[in-house]
Amino acid sequence: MTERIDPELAAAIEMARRLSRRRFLTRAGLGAGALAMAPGLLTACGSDDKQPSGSDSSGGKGDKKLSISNWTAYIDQDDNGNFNAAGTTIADFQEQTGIAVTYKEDFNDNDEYFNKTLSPILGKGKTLAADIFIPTYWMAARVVGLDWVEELLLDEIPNHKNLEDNYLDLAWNPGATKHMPWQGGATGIAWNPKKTGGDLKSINDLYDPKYKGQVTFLTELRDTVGLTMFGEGTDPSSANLDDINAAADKIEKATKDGQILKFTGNEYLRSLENGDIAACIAWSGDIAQLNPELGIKFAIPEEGGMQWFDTMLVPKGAANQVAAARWMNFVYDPENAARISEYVQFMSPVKGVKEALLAKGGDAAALAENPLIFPDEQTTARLKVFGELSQDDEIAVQSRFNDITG
Amino acid sequence: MAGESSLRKGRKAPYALIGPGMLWLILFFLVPMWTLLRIALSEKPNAFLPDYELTWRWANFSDAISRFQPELIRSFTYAGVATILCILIGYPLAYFVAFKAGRFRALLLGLIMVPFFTSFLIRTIAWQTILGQDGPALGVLKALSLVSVTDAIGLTSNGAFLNTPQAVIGGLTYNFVAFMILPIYVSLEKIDPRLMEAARDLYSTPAAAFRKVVLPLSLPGVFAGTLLTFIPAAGDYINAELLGNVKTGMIGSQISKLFLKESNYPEAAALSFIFMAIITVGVLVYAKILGTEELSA
Repeated sequence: MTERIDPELAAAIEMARRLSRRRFLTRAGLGAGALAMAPGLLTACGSDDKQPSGSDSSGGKGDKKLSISNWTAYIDQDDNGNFNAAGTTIADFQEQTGIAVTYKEDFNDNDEYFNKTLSPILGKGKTLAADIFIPTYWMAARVVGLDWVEELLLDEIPNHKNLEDNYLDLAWNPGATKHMPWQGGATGIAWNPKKTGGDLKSINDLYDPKYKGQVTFLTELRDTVGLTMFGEGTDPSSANLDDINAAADKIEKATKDGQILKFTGNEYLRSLENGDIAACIAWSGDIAQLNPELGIKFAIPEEGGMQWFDTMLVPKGAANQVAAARWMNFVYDPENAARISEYVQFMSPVKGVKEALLAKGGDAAALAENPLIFPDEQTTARLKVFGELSQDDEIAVQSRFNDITG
Repeated sequence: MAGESSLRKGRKAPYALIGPGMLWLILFFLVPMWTLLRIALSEKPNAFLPDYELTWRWANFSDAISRFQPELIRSFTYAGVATILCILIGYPLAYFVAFKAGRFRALLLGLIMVPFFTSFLIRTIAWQTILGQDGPALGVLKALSLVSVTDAIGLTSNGAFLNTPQAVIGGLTYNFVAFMILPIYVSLEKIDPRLMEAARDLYSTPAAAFRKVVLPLSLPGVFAGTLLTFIPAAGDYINAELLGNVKTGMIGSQISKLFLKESNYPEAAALSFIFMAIITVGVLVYAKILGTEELSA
């Protein structure tokens, strides 16, 4: 039964994802950290098992071709959706390096990509068709932990120095020698003032019985549980199992009580627009792109908000590792990164993008002043990344969460 | 000699005819089922790696049943109610098209099918708009101040259409009703009108003629329609996902979550097996009750 529906569902996810990417900000007032990603990113690294080798293991040093798997609407393209039309990032890269790029928007969902592509192929020691794929940080940590990636050829990436400092201290890959972040974003709360009759401040406002049955949460474990942990006064970046379970208890109770109507992916946007819900957990940029006449508001809760980023990895045995490195070097040039930022309007992990946008003037300069792309320090200080879970804990927590979300 | 060879040919012909179908079944049904069964009895030493060990772990089945009992019951209840609704809606419609529509028959059949040229998913998403708080369905009820009435008769819950079990069942009914109408129409359309004339000549009332002549002859259509409706409806999860709430999850979404979110292939396979087994038994029982000789006709 599922096979019959699957392609359609995948298409819907892609459509939703595309919407969300496209919708991402331009207006809106609020913040989240581009220049300085959350302090949470800086969390205790402790581990010192740096493995300088790895790139010499297997795989090719190809520098003529490059295949990239990315999320939809995550790079600049022309109005017809051509990634390599003249003047786009990919076209310029091909021109400057002579490397032919195959760019696919076939990364729809972290778990799905892992279970359908990564595990059956890399897990069997076979080689992936893609030279670069771009999972979310927690999936990247899992894949790096499984040793399914190559060390980056840093000699080919002088622009690695432009990586925001916060990314250099991640526990799962100190020094960022195996991944380079693509874009980041933040998760907070959104509400419809016509339904709530006032502004929300705290994540606990979503648990207010006033809004019983008019609240949706996200199916994304780290966003929903992480924000609830903030509300409980615990630290989502610590990944303490007791704290996670306490938050899960709270979510479970709210679900049984009928407080939480449902758990959604991007569909929550339709519910907000249609007036079916009063408030929800939401991704920042989505809300900024809604029709302003609807009056939907978004904020990082006073207790704190969740931060996330998607990051580029080179799978084990990838054929074109030199080309992959050159690509990373290219998109870490502030000018090139600014062009991508201008289109996708996420938080760039590349130093100097704000200056590059300001230098461009016009709309681009306005973007540089957008607090959702370049948030102030106060906002940045309130954002945290969900802590890293061990494999067993992750499965246990995910399984419990799945039971709660129905 | 010639006689013998033609005899042999005659014996081989049935096998030749059955060959393509059998090959299809073996390749695309038996082999996957075998694989699925092996996985259902396996353990995955490491959830993140693709390797299984066949350890004959029957506990996968009991685990799946105890964990997903509510969803199993819900799936069959929703699908059952939706199927009954499909019969109640589909049978009169098919009857009308077959016997009363005259020259508009083809047009009406076409109209029944037209919505189904649109994607299943898009049609379901459209219901979100229709049933939403600010949508037309609730708008009419509100204008007529009937919401408390519909709440009382269970059509709406707390003044809402969307995100209720009723919406899920409604979505299932809508999405699968064509699969009920068409087989019933085909079986009705086959009925010789002279049979009804004969019943009339024998002083039967129209109701008795329907009950004793038309209905029994159309049962194969109802049976086929029930299968075509109930089985996909029980396995569907799009309607529950888009039109339901956190308490309306069906079995399909649980299987997909087990596969994709928890990487728990053995339990997902076991759950799929349990689901298919229940459906198979249900279909056999249903066939027994309805009488198989009718169906072979």
